[in-house]
Amino acid sequence: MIFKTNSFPQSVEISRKWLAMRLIALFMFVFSVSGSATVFSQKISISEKDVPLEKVFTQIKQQSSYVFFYDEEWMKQANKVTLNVENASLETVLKICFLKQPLTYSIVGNTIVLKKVNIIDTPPMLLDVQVFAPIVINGEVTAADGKTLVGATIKLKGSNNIVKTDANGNYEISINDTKGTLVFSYVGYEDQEIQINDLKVINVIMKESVNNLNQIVLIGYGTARRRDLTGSVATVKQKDMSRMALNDAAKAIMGKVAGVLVSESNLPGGGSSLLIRGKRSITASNNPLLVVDGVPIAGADLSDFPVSDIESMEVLKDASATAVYGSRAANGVVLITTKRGDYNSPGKFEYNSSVAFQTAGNLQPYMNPAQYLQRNRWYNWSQGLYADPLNPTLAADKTMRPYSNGSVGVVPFDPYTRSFIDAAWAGGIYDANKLEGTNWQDILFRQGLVTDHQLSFTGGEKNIRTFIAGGYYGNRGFGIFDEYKRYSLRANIDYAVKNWLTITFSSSNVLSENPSKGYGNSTFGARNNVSFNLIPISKPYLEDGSINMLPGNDSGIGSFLNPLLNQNGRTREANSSRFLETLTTNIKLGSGFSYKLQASYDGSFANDGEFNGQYSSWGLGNKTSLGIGVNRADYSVTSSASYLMENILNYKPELGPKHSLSATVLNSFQTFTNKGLYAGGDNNEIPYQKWYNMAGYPDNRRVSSALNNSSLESYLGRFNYSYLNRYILTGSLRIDGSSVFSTGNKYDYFPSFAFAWKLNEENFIKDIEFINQLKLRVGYGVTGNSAVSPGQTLGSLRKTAYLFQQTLGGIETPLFGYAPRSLNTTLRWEKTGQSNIGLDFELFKGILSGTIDVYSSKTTDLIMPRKLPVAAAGLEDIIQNIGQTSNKGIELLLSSINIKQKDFKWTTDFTFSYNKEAIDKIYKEGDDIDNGWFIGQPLNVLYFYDYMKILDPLVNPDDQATIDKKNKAEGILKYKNGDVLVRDLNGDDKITASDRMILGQIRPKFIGAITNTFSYKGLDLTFMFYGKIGNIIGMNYGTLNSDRDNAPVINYWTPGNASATYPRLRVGQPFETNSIAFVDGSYLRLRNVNLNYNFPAKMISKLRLNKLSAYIAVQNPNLILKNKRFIGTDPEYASGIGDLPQPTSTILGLSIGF
Amino acid sequence: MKTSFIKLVQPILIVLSICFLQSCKKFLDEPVISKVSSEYYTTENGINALVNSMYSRMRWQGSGATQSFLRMNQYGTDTWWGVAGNNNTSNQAFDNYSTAINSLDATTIKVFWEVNYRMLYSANVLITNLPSVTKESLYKKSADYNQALGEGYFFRAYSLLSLTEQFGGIPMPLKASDEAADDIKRASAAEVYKQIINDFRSAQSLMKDFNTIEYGRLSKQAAQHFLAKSYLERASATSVKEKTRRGYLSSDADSAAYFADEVIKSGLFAMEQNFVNVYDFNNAYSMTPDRTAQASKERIWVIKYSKNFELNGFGDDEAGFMSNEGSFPIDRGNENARFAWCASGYQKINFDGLSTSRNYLLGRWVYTNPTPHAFDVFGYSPITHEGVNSGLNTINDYNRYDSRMYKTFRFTHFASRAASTYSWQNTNPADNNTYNWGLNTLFVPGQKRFALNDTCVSFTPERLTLTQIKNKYKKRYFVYTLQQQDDFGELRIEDRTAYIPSLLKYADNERYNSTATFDNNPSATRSTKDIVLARLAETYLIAAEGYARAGKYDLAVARTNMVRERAAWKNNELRPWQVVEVHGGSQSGDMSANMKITANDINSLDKTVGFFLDERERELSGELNRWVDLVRCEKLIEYVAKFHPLQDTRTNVAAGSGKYLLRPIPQTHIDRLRNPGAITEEQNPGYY
Repeated sequence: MIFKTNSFPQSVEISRKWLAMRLIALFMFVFSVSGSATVFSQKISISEKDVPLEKVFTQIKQQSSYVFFYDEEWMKQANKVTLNVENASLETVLKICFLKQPLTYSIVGNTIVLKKVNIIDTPPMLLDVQVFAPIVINGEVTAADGKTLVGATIKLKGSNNIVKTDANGNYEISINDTKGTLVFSYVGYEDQEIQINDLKVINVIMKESVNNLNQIVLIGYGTARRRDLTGSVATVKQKDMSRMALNDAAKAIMGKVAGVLVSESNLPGGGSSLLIRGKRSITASNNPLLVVDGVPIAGADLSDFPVSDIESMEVLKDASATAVYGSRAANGVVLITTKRGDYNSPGKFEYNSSVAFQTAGNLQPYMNPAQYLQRNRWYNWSQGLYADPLNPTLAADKTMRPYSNGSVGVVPFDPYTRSFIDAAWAGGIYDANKLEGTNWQDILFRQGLVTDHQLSFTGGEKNIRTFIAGGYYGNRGFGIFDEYKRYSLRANIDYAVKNWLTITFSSSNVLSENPSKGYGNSTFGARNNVSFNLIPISKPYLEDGSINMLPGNDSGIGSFLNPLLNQNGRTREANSSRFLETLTTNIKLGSGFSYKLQASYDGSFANDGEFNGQYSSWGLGNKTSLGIGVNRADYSVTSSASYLMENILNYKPELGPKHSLSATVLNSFQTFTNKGLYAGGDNNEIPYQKWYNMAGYPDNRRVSSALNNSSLESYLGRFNYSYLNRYILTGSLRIDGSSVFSTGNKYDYFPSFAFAWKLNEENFIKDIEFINQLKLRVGYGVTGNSAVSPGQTLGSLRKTAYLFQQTLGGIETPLFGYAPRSLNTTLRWEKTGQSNIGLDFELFKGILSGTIDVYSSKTTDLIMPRKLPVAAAGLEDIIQNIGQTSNKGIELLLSSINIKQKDFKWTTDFTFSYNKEAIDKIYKEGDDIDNGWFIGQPLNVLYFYDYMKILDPLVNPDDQATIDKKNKAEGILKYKNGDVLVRDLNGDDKITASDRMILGQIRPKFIGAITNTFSYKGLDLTFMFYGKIGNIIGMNYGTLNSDRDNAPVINYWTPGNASATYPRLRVGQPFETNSIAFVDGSYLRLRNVNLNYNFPAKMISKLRLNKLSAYIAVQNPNLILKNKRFIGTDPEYASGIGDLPQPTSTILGLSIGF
Repeated sequence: MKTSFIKLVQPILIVLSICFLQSCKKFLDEPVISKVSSEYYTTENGINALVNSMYSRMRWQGSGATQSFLRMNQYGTDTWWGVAGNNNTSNQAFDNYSTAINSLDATTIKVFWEVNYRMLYSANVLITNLPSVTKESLYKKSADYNQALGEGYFFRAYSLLSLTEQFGGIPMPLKASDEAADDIKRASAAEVYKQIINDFRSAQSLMKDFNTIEYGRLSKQAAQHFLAKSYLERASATSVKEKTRRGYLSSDADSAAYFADEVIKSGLFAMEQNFVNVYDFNNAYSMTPDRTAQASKERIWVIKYSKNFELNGFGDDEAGFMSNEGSFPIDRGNENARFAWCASGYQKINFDGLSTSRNYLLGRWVYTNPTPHAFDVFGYSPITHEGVNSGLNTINDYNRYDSRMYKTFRFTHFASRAASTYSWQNTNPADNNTYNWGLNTLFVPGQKRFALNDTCVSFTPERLTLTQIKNKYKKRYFVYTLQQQDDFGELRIEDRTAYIPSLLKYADNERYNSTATFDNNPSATRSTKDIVLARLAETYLIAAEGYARAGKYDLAVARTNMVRERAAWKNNELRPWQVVEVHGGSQSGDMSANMKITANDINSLDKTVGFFLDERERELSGELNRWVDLVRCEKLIEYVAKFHPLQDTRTNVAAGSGKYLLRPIPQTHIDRLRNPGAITEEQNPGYY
């Protein structure tokens, strides 16, 4: 159908109407998703030579659902069209048709509206293009997915004749010779060379660069191509994060970026912490600075930013890269770039969804009822209270002492527990299988569930582009009381007002709910801990179905109460929200100058209410004399706000083909404010009021509030100079001032420089065929870190309360006092100077590529609470700039394409890092044993007795002599069979403080990961192995010697048990027995497996979609190699049995684009 | 187009230049709003706040969190022991003198050390800052100024005294500075005693007289009491080695007596007529304590606690202490935990419905208990000089005159569980219990054995075997012997934790629980009773011992008898059945005359030392000074080796070649020194 009008007025009025029509069409588009899905998925094929325009229209109509809207008169003036396209997008076809026409067009709904060309409508950027030239070649540059590429360069080979594509991806280049070659290049894509050969229209579809050296990379206040980088910067792309059902992008870094140690929290909603290139600070944070779309974030938590909103993450590791962030950059910088729309691109929706089933992984089993009972027999035996545990008798079981706590003679098991034991003795013969009980881990853990739904819209017009995304992430924890929900909304809008002015607005809004509540008596009781506080010979519910309040029937209150009491007894509501709003104005000032003003607001609000009812474990743990539980409510409201204003001036002059220079000057002001109010009280008569009426709690009222302010003022200068695109030199200087320091110490300087040499551009390398890329980088920089909180340098005092009393029962005179605490007015920033040498290479045409970095850093002026001899100083510790630490290491990142055939591809990525931490200097000569600081050793080492073996003369007769010798030296019968022997360093046969030694470091020496990806057609299989080597774990292996608690299944010593790995049970173990807790923490595990299927293009287009993929993944399957003596949930992070285990997740995911 | 650039950029440049010009000095200023900085100490109010914080810090002595004070002052003596079966390693260590008393101890020795040095530091800040506060005010001439300075001297001396009693020679900083001092040498014990005496002397000359308006505040008399005590410590050295170590002066005994007499003569204090009133009970049978003694005129200085939750706290933030900063505006709501320290284990007596509900009078956790010898001490007879150290199976009859044993310990328990008072029955598990002698004349199967508030358990100090006691006492209530023996005459150590009277001195019915609710429930662990640090009876005993050591026996006898006569059973005073049935006394008559000692009791050094050690125990039993007293009198090894119930302890202390007379210097202190000297210089002998 063709609508024809005879006189179509071309006034401005109408244009506005049309604009309105376009907007309406846009909304129609947004709300009729399925309809529009057909629109842009249609491909058109036309092959015509010199035909009238109308003929092409007819063909388009046939192949699509579009109609045309124009004045027939105009067709007379229209030029003929030559066209040869196959499966081209409508846009492309139209662009070609209208290239040489005195007409232009616009799309409204599924109507293509024609219009006469008006000079005002010419995009301003076209003014830059030379119009008068002998021969003009034009065309369009697009990406493989049809996305127009704006600003791609087209260069006539061997000349200085360079043009760029306009906002529509079109270009025009005038040349004199039709035989030349055009070079098309665009950052992140492979260069293409096309011979002109008399062609006048050259449309190019650029191929995305396989070679990551062409990637565009954020470097802090700017961007660079990876191949021009002078510092050590690693990138994690969206596709590496998207298939893992992560709530936290930091987890995606694990194994992907060499030199980063990721520590995860296993709680729903719990974030991760990153440690880049080792620990350098003892008291200050070792977390990297997080910069989201150019805004440095205080209190960085990556989990506040949904993974699906993130385009890429850059990890800036060496100081030459991070020094532009000065005083906050010592721990590295993580730059987050969120997704943005594209100009002139059709609107697209993308829906990503996943569901993950979680179970507690690597659970350490606890003793079952029979094992527990047997352990108690041995424990009583060790005290002479049980005759022969190998031949138990009912009489002995009956009088066995169950609780060592407050032990007084023989106190048998309570009747409740004894009824279970009696049942196992039914008929007078003990049958361990009849011993009933409960595996409390089954009660406390369940199937967890993660559901993730993210919907986003991307699209853009000529001068405006948007990205809008909304999402929900919910995690029903695998611990029964854990829950987390997050709602997010993001809008990124860029408006190119003029060709010299762009305004950008980014808005991130996240709300999270965390009603997780603790198990035990305390507010956030340890989860797994509870299951060993409860004895297994017990039942969670009574026969009438009610909760058994005291499952072990041990009147010891507190953690021995049934954790299920909190199911209804305790309620919690913890909501938090974070709003990050950024407004940026970019202005091109001409002559190579541009100016950017960035203003942002980062606000967080949290409220946390908790109510413990009279039947909660807390309520019953604090009951009145009448045995009635009490109740308690706590409520806190906190808010923090940070305002940032930055002025950035960039200068990038044209210096001809040999030189390239860019310079940046910046000043920045940021303020931080934290406020909080807390109220608590007990014993409300109307418990349903929870924390919403704190005035209703008459007892033990608690209230407090606080305000903290601080501010940071910064100046930065940086230049980047490149000669022949071969030698690149960068230098920067940042000056930071902070309010937390005393006057005179507020400012400091953070310089850096770096040099890169692209060896592959040199003639002597160019000829070596197998080298494609080779770049050497050398850099040095100084960065800072501060652990000083507002007011700290002033030595805040501690409030105390006392009273005098006039007469008995008379007036009490309250005496409030202030006790001294440490102060230090001379605190400065910790400073880290780091040098880095790196080599980036690509060999054998990309089959092997990688990066090697070697670094060495020194951190001086460490802010540490130094322990003081209180007898000399009066205070336990003081915060000072003392000492020096160093980190040295190697990082290796290797990528290889092992097999590359038409349909099959196998690639391997390998990351490896080695880091050596050392304390170089402390405040005094020699080691500080009390603080655990040893010169030349890592920052955290374990210093204790060195476990050797279990003394057992029954197995090893020589041990008798050892026992005798040592008992003689001690003068008492300290050691018996089954006790632990530790290394006697000074050989005096006594174990004293001087026999302690450094057993090892707590962080690994080596971290490595191998990721293999197999691709066959649309199918990708990825799996990653991850491992750490060279650390020692100080385990909490539970309380073997308390028969009140359960314990892990441990092979403890009993007479004749030659294979025992744990010592005998005994009351009052020798202090050094604990040396068994220290074991090698190295491990290797299969971290995740991921199978992804991209549905074939044909099928997708049939479904009228533009993207469809599905995946199944398993995270943290229980495939793990670890030290056999390790007891606990997981050596990855755990120190013992009480830790929450790491979940094993099975994830099903779906990604749909339309 | 260019003009529009400039128009747009102009305001930005202006904003920029303003910021640059100001150099944003104000921008980086840091106002302190929610906190108080140390500059406060340069003001008069700040000085008062500092003084107040030192009073709060004294409360650590009642801290249940560490029990450090208990362990170091009462465990492992002749009269108190950490009961067997209490497998707390630290408790055992201090009771057994095992190798576990070592410099690495992080909760007992370290806490004791650090708390006292923090107090010392606060006192030094006060003494250092005070002169600079007063430049422009009249404050310097006021009595308040002198009082504050005196309190500074007092707390410094008090900390030094506590430390040197335990550790001997110690670092002795006397100035406060902001510098991170990390190098200090130990001063000798003699130097420390000299400083203590100087400081107490300064304190007593600066401070005001005791007054009841600010009951709880330090006074001239409190300083004199402790000054006397310090002199007496030096005067108690008998060996040449100890005299040298302490810096003994021959005038010390006289000085002790002089300053103790100053307190007595001030007339500001008076002894309670009835010994039991010193500790809040009306009579020896009281179920519930009252609180009349909280304002007793006998008390010279106490650590105050309030029934107002907000006003109780340690004022300290060391590890192991409840540190509330962050969640509460002030440190508060902490307890005096002493009420639970010297009570028996409850489990036995409470077992299987034996008519008493679990409570703190009956007992709770097991920390220390009196040894058998502790009860022997009460039986001392000045007439026969017999009783002490005598063998088994003798009864110390002097308790028919001296009321203190029955007023110090709870010898009787009453049925307190209405619902389940114990019935006579054969099937009850308790019938299988060794201590049930159900087949007596009152036995009626199925009938209640007790009514509510009936006596259900009573103790006898007789040394009888189980069979003997069963045959002797056919009562409705259970009778246990303090010297619980089996039929073979063996002392049953395990049972002593339960079958032992509990100390009454700290018993409190006005405790609150963690929710600040007042409650008698066992979970209410926060006592609000004051801790008595100095009372007139002790002042009399200090004066008496001082005079005795100076050879002025008549004066010593006079001071002593003031205390002893008060301790006698008074006319018409209701006495426990044991006084008549066990000790052969009568239920009436004033026994004061029988209490008097004569010079003959004390007229040699040996007699003086022996008598006063025991007399102090009779008067001050459980007041956490036995260990220091024994060391002071150079009797620790002898007495412990003789009287401690555990063979291990007796062996260890004797084999320790004197090392246990001093505690080890905490290893953390030595480790933290910048330039530690040789270990022989930094550590006490025997601990390296």
